Amino acid sequence: MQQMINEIKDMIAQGIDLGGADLSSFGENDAIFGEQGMGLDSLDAVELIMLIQKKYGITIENMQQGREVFKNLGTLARYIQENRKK
Amino acid sequence: MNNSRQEMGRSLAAKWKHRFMYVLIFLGGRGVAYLFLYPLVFCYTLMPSVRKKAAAYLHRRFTPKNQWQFLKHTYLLNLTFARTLVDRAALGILGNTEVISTEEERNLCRRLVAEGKGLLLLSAHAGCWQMAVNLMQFLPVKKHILYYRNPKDHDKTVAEHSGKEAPFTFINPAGPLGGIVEMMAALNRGEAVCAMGDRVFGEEKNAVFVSFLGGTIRVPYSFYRLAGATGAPIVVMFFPWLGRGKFGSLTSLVLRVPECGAKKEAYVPFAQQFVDALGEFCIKYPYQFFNYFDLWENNNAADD
Repeated sequence: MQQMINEIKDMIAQGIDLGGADLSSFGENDAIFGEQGMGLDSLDAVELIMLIQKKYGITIENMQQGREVFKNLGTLARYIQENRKK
Repeated sequence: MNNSRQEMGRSLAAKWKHRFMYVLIFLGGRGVAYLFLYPLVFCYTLMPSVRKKAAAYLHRRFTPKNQWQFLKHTYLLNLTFARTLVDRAALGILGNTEVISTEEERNLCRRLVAEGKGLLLLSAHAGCWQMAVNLMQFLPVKKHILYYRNPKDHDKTVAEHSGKEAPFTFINPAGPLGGIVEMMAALNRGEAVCAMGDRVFGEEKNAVFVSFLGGTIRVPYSFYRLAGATGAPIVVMFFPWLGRGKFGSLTSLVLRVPECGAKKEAYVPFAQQFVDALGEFCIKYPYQFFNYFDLWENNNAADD
């Protein structure tokens, strides 16, 4: 799990422009989006979904599912582990 | 919530006034309601706050020489808007509206949908856009509309009038992540998403600067980013009001946005094409651009 969280953080750091923000302190329960979390915004969501699609072959097709998946780093990591095609 | 969002989509008239118009339409039909609009709209037009809302667009579009000309333009703009609202209510209450669109246009949309990458139907706060989304049965896929419904909006939707199920679902731009994940998921399923490309909702950083009617305005670029990411084609359509209970569809262009990455500058040319098409619509139908916001406000730095 921790390994997947680190992979996600690396993916975000490399693929999304967050103005050089340090993501190392974020953990399983930290939100991905919004000021209280890692600070990603709605358009960063497009980038993140694209990155997940490209790297793990996962497509988010359902909004309810999307909401749950993107709740925090832990939920995203679990979802990728369970559904990855690559 | 910021002030502009509080203002966005807020009804000008009280709830009882809306209800009065609905009764009038039900009992007397469109004609009686239209007649009632002449004095009603005139009274509203005399209100400084109403004139102020329309001023930015009208000054750019007409350059009125004096206050009388400005008053006339404001009155005609508001009257056309009021007629479209009557027609929208009449569609729900009476159920009769004539849509003038060509088979060619409908086939184009069907062909784009058949590509299986979803369809982004981009329009603007112009003409009968609110009615048009109710009459797109020719599209054989599920339809969604990105729409923020202000709690202070007393205007009923067509489905609320008719009691029938709406032929689309709403995606709330004030919802989680501005509705982006919902839109992307819908496009990934090959469905159609309708949105307004002429107004920024949410964070200003999600906007790009483009030229419109001799000045610079900000418009969202998220739709072009989404299209690039999903491969969904964008069809730019406007729906001019053509007279009593009648509106048309005007397909201005089809945009194919390649994957251009995250830099918003890459999407400016697409946003500019959309705005150019809107500009042409405003030339042809000058009293049908109902974006009652000063789109040019605080964009002076970009004008330099």
